[in-house]
Amino acid sequence: MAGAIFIAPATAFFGLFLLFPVVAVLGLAFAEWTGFNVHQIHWVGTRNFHQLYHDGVFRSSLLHTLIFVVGSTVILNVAGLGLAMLVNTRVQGHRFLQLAIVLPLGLSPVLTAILWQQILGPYGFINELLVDTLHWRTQPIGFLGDPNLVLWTVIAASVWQYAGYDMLLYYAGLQGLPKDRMEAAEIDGASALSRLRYVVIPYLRPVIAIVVVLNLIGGWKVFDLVFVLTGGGPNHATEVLSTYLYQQAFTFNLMGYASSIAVVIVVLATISALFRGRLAGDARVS
Amino acid sequence: MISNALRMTRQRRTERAEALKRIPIYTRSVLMLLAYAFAVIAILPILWTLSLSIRSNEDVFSNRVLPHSFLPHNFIEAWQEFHLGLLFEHSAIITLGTVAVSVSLSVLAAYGFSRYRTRLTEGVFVLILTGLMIPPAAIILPFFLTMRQLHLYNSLFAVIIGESAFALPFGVLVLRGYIDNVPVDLTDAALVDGATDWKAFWYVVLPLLRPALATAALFTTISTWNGFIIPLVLLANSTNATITVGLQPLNGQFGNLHLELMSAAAVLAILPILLVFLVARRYYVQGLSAGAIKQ
Amino acid sequence: MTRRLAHRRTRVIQVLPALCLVTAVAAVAAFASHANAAGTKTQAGGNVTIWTWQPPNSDYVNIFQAAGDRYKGAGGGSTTINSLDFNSYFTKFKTASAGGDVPDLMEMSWTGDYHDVINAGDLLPLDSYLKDFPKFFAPTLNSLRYKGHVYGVPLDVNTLTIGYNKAIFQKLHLKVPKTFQQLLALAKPIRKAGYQPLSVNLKDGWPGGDLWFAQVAYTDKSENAIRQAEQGAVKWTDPRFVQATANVKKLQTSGLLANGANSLDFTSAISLFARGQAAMTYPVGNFDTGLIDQASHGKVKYDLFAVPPPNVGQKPLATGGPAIIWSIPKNAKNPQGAIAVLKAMMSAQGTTALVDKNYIPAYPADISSNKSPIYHRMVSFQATAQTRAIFIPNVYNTLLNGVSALLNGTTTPTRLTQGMERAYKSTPH
Repeated sequence: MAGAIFIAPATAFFGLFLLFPVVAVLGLAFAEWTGFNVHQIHWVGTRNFHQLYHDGVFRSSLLHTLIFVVGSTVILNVAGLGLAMLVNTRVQGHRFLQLAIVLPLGLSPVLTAILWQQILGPYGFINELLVDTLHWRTQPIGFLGDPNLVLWTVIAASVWQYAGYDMLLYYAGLQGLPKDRMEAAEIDGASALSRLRYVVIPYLRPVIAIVVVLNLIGGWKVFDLVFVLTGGGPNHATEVLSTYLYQQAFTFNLMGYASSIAVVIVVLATISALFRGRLAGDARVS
Repeated sequence: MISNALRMTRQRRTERAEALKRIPIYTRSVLMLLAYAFAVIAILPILWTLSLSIRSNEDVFSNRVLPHSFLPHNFIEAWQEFHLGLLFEHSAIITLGTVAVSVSLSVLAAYGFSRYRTRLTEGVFVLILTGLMIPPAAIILPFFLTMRQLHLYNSLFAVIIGESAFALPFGVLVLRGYIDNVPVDLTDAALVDGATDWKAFWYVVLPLLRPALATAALFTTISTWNGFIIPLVLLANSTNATITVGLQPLNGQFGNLHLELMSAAAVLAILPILLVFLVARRYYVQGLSAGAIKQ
Repeated sequence: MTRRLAHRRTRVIQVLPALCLVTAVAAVAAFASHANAAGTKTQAGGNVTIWTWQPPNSDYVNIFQAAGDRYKGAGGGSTTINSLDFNSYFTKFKTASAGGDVPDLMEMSWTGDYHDVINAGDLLPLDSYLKDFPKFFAPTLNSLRYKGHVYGVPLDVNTLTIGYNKAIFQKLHLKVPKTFQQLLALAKPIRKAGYQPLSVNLKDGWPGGDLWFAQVAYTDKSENAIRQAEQGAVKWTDPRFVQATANVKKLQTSGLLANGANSLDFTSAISLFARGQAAMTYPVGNFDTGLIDQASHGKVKYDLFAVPPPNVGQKPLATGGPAIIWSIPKNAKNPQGAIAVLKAMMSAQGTTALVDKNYIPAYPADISSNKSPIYHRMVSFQATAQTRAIFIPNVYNTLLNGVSALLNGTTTPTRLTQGMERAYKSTPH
């Protein structure tokens, strides 16, 4: 079959390098292994999952990841769409804006962490401004040290880095917006807000669906930024599923337990992906 | 075809200019202010790092908001001390390689998935999409063991393979959507004319895909350039590190007291992606806007 | 239609060579680097492969290389040193042992990985070789004993103490505190004068643990409670541990910790002290004395004192432990060569090299008197340095997180130790 020839190379590649390790991880979720000796894999059935259920740190990392996923997705999409529309108006400064928003995408997580520590550390830019220059506070704000604040700091850093991603996707989507419909709405006297609500957003629904799902999946998987910015701390205040997985796998050498966490991540991400159809809506506004 | 495209953009540009004029001046100024404000906020950390990068070592720790020294030589020093030339080279090779491998495999597969829809191929498509859900940290040990069995360790080639595997799903997703919008009549006509499936793909569909390929390439570049955990584990970092991994020790618990050099390195590390985006901007908008993300 | 096809074909043909060239270049470059990769290839004869996570071109690595050269000069093969990133060090070792490709000599971490690697049967017991080495300090060697055998030898040790800015102390007429209360009392006058008292890089986690160990050094008179607790002979909720935790809390309630200490990372903490903004900093050991000098450009003159005891007249104790630990994998191809290189590291020349760079050998050594007073100060604490390790990662991590929570006000000393006991119980052993 001709189709098979086209699909085969990618599938083989995927199967060997991605699928096979994933299956291994699925298997390991039912085992206990330090990773040091292939002959020492012990099968323990569903014990890892039982332990997960009773694990307080896992539960809080699940909660943090959920907050991160929802918080970052909402803010990213609102910001992404808003910025895309702003750029789309072609006012003066829109090119500068577009470049400025996209630039952080090119920063590796280490660099982002270094930058943000310089800005948000107790003796960083913002705190120096507040404490030493403006004297608005006596104690620095613990952006990265106060457990009540730090998760939102991480979300803010993530939004800063990825707003460009959403903006690019929405901007492209906006290019296809049929202008006759917009003009009709304007002629009918619709305000900017209701134009947004009744013309732009319905048109963009499929785009919104994809972008939201991509953000959700990325949120469940988030690792790099959290790892280098806070390492999951202080005291698990920013522990997310992936950082907890990393700790169990590489600090505690509990490969089996870590694999069970991986299974949870994959399941949650898959469920999020299934939302795409719903978000896109079954019938498109004609 | 290019002249057509040019005509279209020129047309769109005049439409845009007219649309801009329709916005009242008052709103336009507010929007302009907003645009600049957001841009400055977005760029603030980078500006701050730039400010740190030109300072002397004493100045950089002095808590002063504005720099009191000007040492552009820091960039040269940072380049040498952190072997940025080597790191950039490795990152570039890996990114180029990953883009080449994953985009070519993706476009082939996307064509197959788009044109030959059966239950089986749909199933494989969904399977590949699940690759998007996998947290790299989870599979890194079995992945690493596989690589080792295939003698693919401590080589840039291994990292290319690893990153490509993760870049495949997104590429397939975007490209299939785009190919779906290429009218079947075109390929049908070619087939009727006696072309083989391959010729239909290569000569009819592929040339139309350039914007979509650029899009896939752009997003793959972004994710590969910043790839952290795969190069971290696959490369024996002393000689083979990438930009992401090579600068990691700077953030470690033993820090680096040459913050100004570190900041200079950070600034230099941003430049390539800036360049890539400037170049790719035109193609990318064309690509996505013509319907790659409409499904 | 055919004309359009031909038009497209020429376009494609034009693009094609460029595409091919790019791919080819990328592939060739990648293969070339693959061929040139400095990996852990097996070496024949008397060659020795060493793994470490010390950065390349660092003092440590230069010292290792010098020992390797001495080994070669004495008839051995060449020594290859692989500097691997710490985060992926053990992952690489896991795959190396699966592939039968282990180094001959490897740096070992003195935490949970040590026990796990031993339990996997991957390390060579070194008991029979101990006679070939200098006599290591007993407490240091003891900490490397597991299930009755020694699987690692220490090269050097470090001690952790408080560094204080002599100029600030002089200006404020402050004396080096002899008791814990006196230390806490320093907070007020220092803050009044506009300085931060004690800069600690708590964001990194481990210094919080060290604050605790510094207290256990005094609350545990048997000097063995932690080792006993690891074996289950003593509970982690033992009153001695609870008291130590309560003492750590006092550091904060007295205002001794610098503002924002919970978010201070290593660089910021050191620079706070090096800029003369903080009167004291902790922990100071030979891993950062050089950095402090560098950061202050020699302008800050400082000296060290151990975290003081509760009562007057009690002997001050610092905490410390092995810095570099060497182990030999069981399947190493050249264990004899590894031992020979180790001996070269600890020979008279090796010892001089260590002392020259301000490292403290893990065995009694002749320290020439023209070393800096700081160095002598650190050495003086060495013989009585107390442990700063808990070998069970789960419990150790609970401690680190617990101290962070303690200082954030979200837990109490009792609850912290209870958490450690729970962590101990839930760890398979």
